[in-house]
Amino acid sequence: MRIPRIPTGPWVYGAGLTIVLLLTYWVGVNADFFLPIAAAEEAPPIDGLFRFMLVVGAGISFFVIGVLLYAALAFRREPGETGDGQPVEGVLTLEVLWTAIPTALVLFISISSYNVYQEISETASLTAGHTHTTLLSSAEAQDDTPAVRDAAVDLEIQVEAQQWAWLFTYPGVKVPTGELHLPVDQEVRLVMRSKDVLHGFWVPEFRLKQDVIPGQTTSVRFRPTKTGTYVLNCTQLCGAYHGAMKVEVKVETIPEYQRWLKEQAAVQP
Amino acid sequence: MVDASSLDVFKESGDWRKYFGFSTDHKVIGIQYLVTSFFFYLLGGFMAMVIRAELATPETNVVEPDVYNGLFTIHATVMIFLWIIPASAGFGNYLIPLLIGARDMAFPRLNAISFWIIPVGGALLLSSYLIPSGPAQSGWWAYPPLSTSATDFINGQLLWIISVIVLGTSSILAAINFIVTIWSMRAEGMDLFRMPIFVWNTLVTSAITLLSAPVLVGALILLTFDLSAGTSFFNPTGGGNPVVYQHLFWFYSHPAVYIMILPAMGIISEVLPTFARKPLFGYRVIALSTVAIAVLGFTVWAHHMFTSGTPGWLRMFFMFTSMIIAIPTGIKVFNWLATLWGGKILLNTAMLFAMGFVGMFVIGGVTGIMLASVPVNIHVSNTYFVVAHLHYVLFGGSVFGLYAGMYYWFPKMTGRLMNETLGQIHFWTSFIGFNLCFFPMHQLGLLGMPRRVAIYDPQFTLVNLIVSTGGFLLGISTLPFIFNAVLSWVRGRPAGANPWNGYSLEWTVPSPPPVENFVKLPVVTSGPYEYGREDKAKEQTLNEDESR
Repeated sequence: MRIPRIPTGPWVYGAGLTIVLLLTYWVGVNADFFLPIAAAEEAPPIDGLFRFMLVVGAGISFFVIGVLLYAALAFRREPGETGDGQPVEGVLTLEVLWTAIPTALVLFISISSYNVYQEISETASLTAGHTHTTLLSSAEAQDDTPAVRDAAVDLEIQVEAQQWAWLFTYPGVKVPTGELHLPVDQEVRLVMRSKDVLHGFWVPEFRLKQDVIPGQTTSVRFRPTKTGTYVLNCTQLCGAYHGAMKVEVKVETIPEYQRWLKEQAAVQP
Repeated sequence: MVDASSLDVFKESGDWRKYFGFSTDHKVIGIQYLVTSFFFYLLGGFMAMVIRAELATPETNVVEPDVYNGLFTIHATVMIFLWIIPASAGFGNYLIPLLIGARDMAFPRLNAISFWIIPVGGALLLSSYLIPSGPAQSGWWAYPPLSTSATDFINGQLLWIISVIVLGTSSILAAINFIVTIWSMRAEGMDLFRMPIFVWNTLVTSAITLLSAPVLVGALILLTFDLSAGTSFFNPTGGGNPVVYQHLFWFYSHPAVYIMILPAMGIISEVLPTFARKPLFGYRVIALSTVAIAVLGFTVWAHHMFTSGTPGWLRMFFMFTSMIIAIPTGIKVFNWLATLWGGKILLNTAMLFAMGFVGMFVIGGVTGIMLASVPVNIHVSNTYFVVAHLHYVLFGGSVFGLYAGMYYWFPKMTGRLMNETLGQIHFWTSFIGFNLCFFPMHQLGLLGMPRRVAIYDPQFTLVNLIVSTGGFLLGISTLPFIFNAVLSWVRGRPAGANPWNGYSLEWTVPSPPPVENFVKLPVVTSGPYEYGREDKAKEQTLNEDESR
């Protein structure tokens, strides 16, 4: 079977570009096919960034693959054909063009990403490491700066990760619990420590991830916006049952949450 | 029955037993590298198929969870350190002296040692399956404290570390050899800007290896002390910091991505012009963008740690550098496209793999930019999105490039042509299997499936089944290649010195080349991609006649 050679010319290029644009548009309108629901205030800006990069990326991929297919069909050597193509060794204008366009694109994406990071950082403190570690390096240090910290969030939960379980300590509750309940529309901070190896906090519906590192305190701050049950996954390989180190995250209305919290407070150590 | 033509091969290429001995001929060593690494590729691929069998269903049912962790650890280690890196070095060994007009590598004995270290390192790695506690299970990153938690003195992690140090040493020795050879043994007239891009990329790759691999070896030595001697370089209970290991590890392992992709980029930069019958578009730009990628490649490592213990400013810095590296990479892609444009394209298997490389690598590059963006990275890091991305770069990129090279230079190495029909079957089954296997992984990661898990949420069952089906097809796709290679080596059609009408120096000598390569060392008067230029073509024919 031989596919006939397709012609060249402006209308073919126009048709090709139209197909690329239509496919890109189709990917754009179906972007949410790739995403779970957004259940935290921090998720929509991240999704916006993802959709933008998906559309640009899909456009570039369709264009490149389109040119490859077109070249394969239009410039294919006929059986028995000999001779070479034109000895074009380079065109400066083209080189400048395809240096400038990607440069502009990645700069734009960098700036957008920076802005989104600032936006989610205001509400979701994802910083860890040096500055953060000094601030939260010990329980004493936390007690030294209660005003700053309490003003920032509505609820702070101490999280302890170990092979292969998560433990949560709520304010006013003496016994740690294995369940994560969160009141909807409240600013929450999880202050996380690990008892053994690296672990990772990730709730796909919140779009937030932070490693839990032995010897350090890391934290993640967010505001859940949709009631429902989600799953907290461990995302750093932590041993044989890493894949099973999951726990349900229940985002509840405030009365439901308070009822649950009262039950927990009643448990004797 | 012995075919008369097969007797000729033995006469031409000498005794086949030389491939099993300590030869110092770069061509023998090159083939030793390629065949050995291909064997490890099959082994790593088999492990991948066991992994995909396990992941065909959400529960654990094929292997135990700890065995599973061992499988993906050894799969990655084999594919990186025993397949892509040594296979690239195999092409380098075979081709560099031929491409620059030299009789051998600068240090032939060192070259043989670099090769023979590899089976030793590989055997050491696999021997961990024979000890009671089994192989390393902490992933190929070997992040402490998980990697330093073994209790036996001889354990899989220790064997893993020693093996990677051994293999790293092989890389370092080979890198020194390549740099010295390319720098000092080029034929008269072979200026830097007359070197084929494969030579450029091998030179740059070697420089990256030389600067980064010692850092990995150093980090692994410290890790050994933590593991076996109870020190606390990275152990928080003794005052160490596991994040320091992550920095040291990725300082090698990000540049290692370029160590794995640049040689393949070099290969397709040879294949595309030959079968498009056009000069490589923007030759100098491509050569210099390789150098730019190498330099920038040393400034991006912490993008693997955006969700680790890294402060915000550091995340922003490494996001910016990671974005910048897309520019020289994009430039290469557009230059390859321009090389094809208006050519007289011959769509044989080598060309299909080379064009497949460009298409698949672009998808891997695009997801790479997404991963460089910190907010999106925070969602998708350590998920199947990353698994998809890295396989688009390393399989759709590096492995397709290596296959392109095998089809392209097989006639030079063996004196025989490969079967084209089997080649086409190989390409299309690989291409379909590859996309079926790795494309749906993007969605898995975005929707919430972490990587390195043996157990997953039942909502992902269907997509995982598709992925596993693609994985098995990909496994099967190697069969026509193996069959083709063996059959063609024994009784393929004789290739002649220059079956593709190429212009680089390897095509001026007989196939397979004589032990000393060039009877008389060539004097180079033109570049390697003089397609479409009648005057240069005539000159080439003259040189060719002279060398015979």
